[in-house]
Amino acid sequence: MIVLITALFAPAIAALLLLTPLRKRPFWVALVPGILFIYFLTQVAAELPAQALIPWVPSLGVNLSFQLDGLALLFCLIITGIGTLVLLYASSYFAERDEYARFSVYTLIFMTAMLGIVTSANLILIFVFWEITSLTSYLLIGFHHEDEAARSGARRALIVTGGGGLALMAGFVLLGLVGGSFEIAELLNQRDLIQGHALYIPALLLIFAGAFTKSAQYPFHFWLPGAMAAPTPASTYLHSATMVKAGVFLLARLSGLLNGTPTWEGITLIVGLITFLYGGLIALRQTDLKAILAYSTVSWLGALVAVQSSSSEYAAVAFAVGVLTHALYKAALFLTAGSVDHGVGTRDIRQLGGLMRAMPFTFAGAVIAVISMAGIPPLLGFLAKELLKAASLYENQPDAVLILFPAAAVIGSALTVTVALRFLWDTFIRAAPADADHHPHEVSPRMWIGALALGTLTLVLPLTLPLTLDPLVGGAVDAIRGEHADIHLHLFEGITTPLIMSAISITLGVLLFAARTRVLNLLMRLPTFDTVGVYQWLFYRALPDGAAWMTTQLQNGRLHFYLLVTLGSAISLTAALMLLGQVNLTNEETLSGFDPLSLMVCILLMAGAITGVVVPTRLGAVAILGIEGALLSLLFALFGAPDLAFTQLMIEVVTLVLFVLAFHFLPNTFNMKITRRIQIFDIAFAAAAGLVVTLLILAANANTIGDSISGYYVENADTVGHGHNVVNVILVDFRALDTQGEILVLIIAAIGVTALLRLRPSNQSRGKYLPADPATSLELPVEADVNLEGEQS
Amino acid sequence: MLLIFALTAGVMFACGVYLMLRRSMVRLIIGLSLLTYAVNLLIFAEGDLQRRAAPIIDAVPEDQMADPLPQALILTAIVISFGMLAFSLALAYRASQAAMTDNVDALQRTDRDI
Repeated sequence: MIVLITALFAPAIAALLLLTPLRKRPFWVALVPGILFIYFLTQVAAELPAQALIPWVPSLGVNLSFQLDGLALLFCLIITGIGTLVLLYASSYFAERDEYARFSVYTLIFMTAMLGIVTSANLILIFVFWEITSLTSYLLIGFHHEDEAARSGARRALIVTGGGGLALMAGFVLLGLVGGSFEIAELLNQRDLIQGHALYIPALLLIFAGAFTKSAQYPFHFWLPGAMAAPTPASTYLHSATMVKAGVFLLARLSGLLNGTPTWEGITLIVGLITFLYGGLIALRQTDLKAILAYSTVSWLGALVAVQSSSSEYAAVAFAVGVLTHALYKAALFLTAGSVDHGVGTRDIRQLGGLMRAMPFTFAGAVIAVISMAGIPPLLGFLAKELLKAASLYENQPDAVLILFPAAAVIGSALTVTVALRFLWDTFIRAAPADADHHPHEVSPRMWIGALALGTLTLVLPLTLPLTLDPLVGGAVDAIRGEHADIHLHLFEGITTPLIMSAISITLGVLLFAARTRVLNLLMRLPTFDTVGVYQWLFYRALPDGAAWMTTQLQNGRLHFYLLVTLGSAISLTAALMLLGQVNLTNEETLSGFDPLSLMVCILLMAGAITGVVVPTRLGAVAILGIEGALLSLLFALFGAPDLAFTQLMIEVVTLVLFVLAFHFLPNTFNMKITRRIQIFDIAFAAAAGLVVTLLILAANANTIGDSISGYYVENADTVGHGHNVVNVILVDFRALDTQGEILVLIIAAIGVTALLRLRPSNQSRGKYLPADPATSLELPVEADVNLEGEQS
Repeated sequence: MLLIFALTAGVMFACGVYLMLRRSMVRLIIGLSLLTYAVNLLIFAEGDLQRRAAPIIDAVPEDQMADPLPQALILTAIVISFGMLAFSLALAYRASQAAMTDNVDALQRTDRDI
């Protein structure tokens, strides 16, 4: 347990160490994933699943609960294995040591987060790691932040994947509400309950939104090509081998819980197949090496979503092999693209050619990876494509699906063949264009070794199936399907339908490649249905323009309007609550206990308030205000509150003095012309506000909840607070902090008044803040102080 | 008695709101004061509305005491509303100096030296 948790957090700790002087020689960092890779290799033979649980927020059901099962192990090996090669590659890719250190910090944090996603056994924990991967991806895409394309690409990726992450969180919460736990193992026991629940569909759709944005499914695919502004090692690692697979991983992780319904099957199949074909077609139209690879990654991610529509063993096998194969060959090709960029200075396929002589080692790695990508036997890619086709033929499906899926599998695979061949041919084999002006050179061994190693692996693995892939894939399939199955993979099983389909795809792909000029011309004329326009409109037009419109509407600078909005919302919400709650308005106290003296005071108060509204002079209005205050203090005195009466009276006197003083300085525009219509509206509005307050008082008294705490104060004033005047004891003892705050408010008000009346910034005094030369700068504090006094004094 | 209190507070609140909706700064501040009176009355009405003696221990038996809690709250409210009133008067003075008007709706620009 401790070993597992240490392994998961080791990269993040290494990232922290990079903040110490160890940063000066950062090249040791590649060792960290390297050691972890060996550790995870030893776990293939170990007994799985290994579990670790540390309570985190037990009251919310959130635990640091980790589980290393076959599915997690497959991903852990990919994450640490490719991570090692990428860090090695990057040490030569980045010329500056500081850049390499910065890249390593982001990448290592990402590595822990990604390992966390695949090993978490708690939904909330998955979400936390999920968001960390989005953030590190944002930092890595925007790595060269002085470049506008990098910034907008990073922003786009964050908005799309971050938005999806929020949807995912909502989906997880719904699942937790229905199933009563966030632990996946406990939810699995509630499978039938969850699938029959009314919240199943909303939860599923939200989780799909999270998974599809992360795994760049159409129509959310566009952030992935935009993410190619990242340094190539980051694209290799995050945007091809690992992070973009988090979405399909999540589908696999939750398939045991959620699959088997028409909604699951229909959406995964349709979205997956559209993405599969769309990515392949658009990849052909690209001219940037990395864009080609990005769209072809989108395409294969679509295939990985589509296979999950079925819960058959074939599908699980196709998924596991598909994830591994794609990670290996696509990472190799991304590294190749980075090497080409490094060795030539451009990634534009129209400028490239003939690199097989100048970059022989890079070429060797690329050839194997391309053959694997094209699915030509006996490489691993062939096995993956065969399994995809086998999965597409699964039984018990409507006829339409039975034709659609296999047909799409054949055509999509054919497109992959064409893309792969074009990548290899245009970059390495054909002669360089005559106008190309570059002098390619081979990159350092640290840069070509990665692609070559990954390529070789796709060659070796299919030849050693029983030893390598059978236990690995078998473990993953067991974890996905929740039951044990003996998996024995074979490259050739005689003449089967998948084999015939593969033959058709390869032939079709080669034919398309042979006719590529004509095919490309045709493709260029096709509409793209690219949803990036929708994104641009939404986040660069609709949202800012909408916000600006809303601001000008609500913040129009007229106090009258602000008051209407604020008070209007307050009173309408209060009124709505009272109406909806159908609260009582009266109880026996409401009409009882009339007292003639206080009744008279109240009538005078009301009459005074109305007079205050109609009185034409401001002095008259202030006099009325004073009378109101005096009447109020009389009322307080009548009802046993001498402290209040006294304070109110004192304050009233000071207020009156303040007002009369202020009148001396204020311009007298007491009566302004206002149209009749506005006046009537204001009266109606004010009357409504008053009515709501009246009803609120009645409702609050008729609906008391629990006992008043007044009794506590009365009982304890003497014994605890050592005072006899209960009101005073409450103020200075029981609620002393409130009084402290009140004093603070008064001090702030006093400072504010002083500042308003005396502080007077002007152009001359502002100049005094700047020292003319160092010799006089010592006098500065004295000079600045003068400003407070103002010109009047 | 509660009904009368509720009506009084309602009328004072309505008059306060109406005054605040006038454009004159002085009326705005007077309206605000009236509004705080109404709200204090609202808090006061939440206690037992019986004409009883002041809550002083030993001077009166406990069952004949007025409710001390609303009183303590209102005492704080009165003092704070006074602080606010003083501040708003100073602000009105300064703003009218800058804008040469008492009309709150005329105060729309912020980028002028005052």
